[in-house]
Amino acid sequence: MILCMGLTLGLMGCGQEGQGGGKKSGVPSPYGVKEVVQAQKDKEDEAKGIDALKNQEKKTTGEEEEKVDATREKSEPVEEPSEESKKDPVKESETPAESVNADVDLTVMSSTMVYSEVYNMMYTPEDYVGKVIKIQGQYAVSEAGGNRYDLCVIQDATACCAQGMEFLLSDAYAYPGDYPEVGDEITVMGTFVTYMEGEYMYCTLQDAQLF
Amino acid sequence: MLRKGRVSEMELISAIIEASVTYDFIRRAFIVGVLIALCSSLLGVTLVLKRFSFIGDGLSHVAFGAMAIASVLKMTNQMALVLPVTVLCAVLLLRTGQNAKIKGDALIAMISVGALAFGYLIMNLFPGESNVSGDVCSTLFGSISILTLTMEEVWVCVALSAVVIAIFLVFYHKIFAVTFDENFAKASGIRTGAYNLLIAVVIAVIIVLAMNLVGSLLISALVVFPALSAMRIFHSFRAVTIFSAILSVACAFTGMVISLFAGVPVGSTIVAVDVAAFAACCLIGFARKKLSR
Repeated sequence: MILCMGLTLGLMGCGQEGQGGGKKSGVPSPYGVKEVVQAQKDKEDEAKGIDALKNQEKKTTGEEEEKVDATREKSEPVEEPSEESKKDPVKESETPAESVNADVDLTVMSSTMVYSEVYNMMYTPEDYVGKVIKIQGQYAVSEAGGNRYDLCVIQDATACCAQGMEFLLSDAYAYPGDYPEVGDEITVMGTFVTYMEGEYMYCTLQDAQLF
Repeated sequence: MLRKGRVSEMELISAIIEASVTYDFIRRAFIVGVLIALCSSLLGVTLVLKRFSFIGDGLSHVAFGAMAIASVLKMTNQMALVLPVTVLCAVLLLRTGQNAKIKGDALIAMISVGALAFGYLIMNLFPGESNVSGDVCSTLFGSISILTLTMEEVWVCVALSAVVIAIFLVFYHKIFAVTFDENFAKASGIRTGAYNLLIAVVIAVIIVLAMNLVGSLLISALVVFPALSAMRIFHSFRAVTIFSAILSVACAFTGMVISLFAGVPVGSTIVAVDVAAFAACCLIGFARKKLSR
């Protein structure tokens, strides 16, 4: 019973805003990790220039309305990026230079973690909107309704289940010359946004870059 | 963070703590995993001693069949169908007496295999998702189910686990009596039928919860291995129960950490750790026996 109560308090007390897991209740972390994580986030925000990201969001939102996509049309709800970016607290000092700007870097995680994280992105997309996601997987193309969708497919540890993350390469990439071949292993980084097509909501990595 | 490659123990502990703080789904997985392991181990001792070790397997297959029907019916809350059906089958399996036409082990086999086959058939005839095999694989082996829990599912698990633990603590002496000598317990005035029914219901609840952790096919391991490991070392019911609970929680937590770190399926990793713990306990028991001579 004591164990249950303790675990229940843990459920209520832990969690960061915008992650769907509960608000901060003021229960201090026993290890001081939250303070470390928060300090690191503040430092990262200053170094990274979070304003540049917000400007990019505004620019992207404004450009989307003018952009004429020959292959598809979509409307995007205006989503405010979350002020707290979810960051990997440890990766800053150890990861390659190109992943410094990624809020969620899936390339440094195990396949089990990656699959779970992508699943949660699809299930609670509002927690990830506006964040820069870096992902690694197989390039795939899907065509439906006259539209072409570029996908990065990730498989779970048993390789029996797969999650696909759509991405939109930036204007710097010309189709088909600059695009990879279907089945190639790719690393792509972009800003996570949602959009509606018909009655369904979809997720995509906008202004994506290939590594 | 949990990245590939060799790390020291302190780095691992630090990574686990950071992961729990940073990622909601990891924190939920740890909480639910620990509770399920604890509940499974408590009832595991009773089941092993009553020679009902395989009932976990049978009931999990029944739950799989019920889950298949719930998927076809597009139920948002599958627990509403899975739990009552599993409880019903548990009562049917555990309440039939010695004079039943179909004895316990045959009945378990019949219901277990029938439900599994029926469930898979239903899922293929009425596929709700594009990847039926993937869904079936995930349900049977629990590859990532524990890592994709919603807050509602977590609270349901916490509530049911609290009820199971409370029942075990309150009725500990009665369960002990019914487990070791049902006839004597009956002669003493204990309502063995009612307590067998209670045990059946609790087992069904635990099985439904444990499917999230290790999947349908591996549930028996979660129930059986901690109890058997404890019995290699200790010989009193209380000591076996307590050690079994501690070992089960430790193995489940270790299995989940290894799974997240090494990128291997959660369910089978937990069972592998349970097997390793059983082997270690066998060695310890053997060494103690040798030393005591």
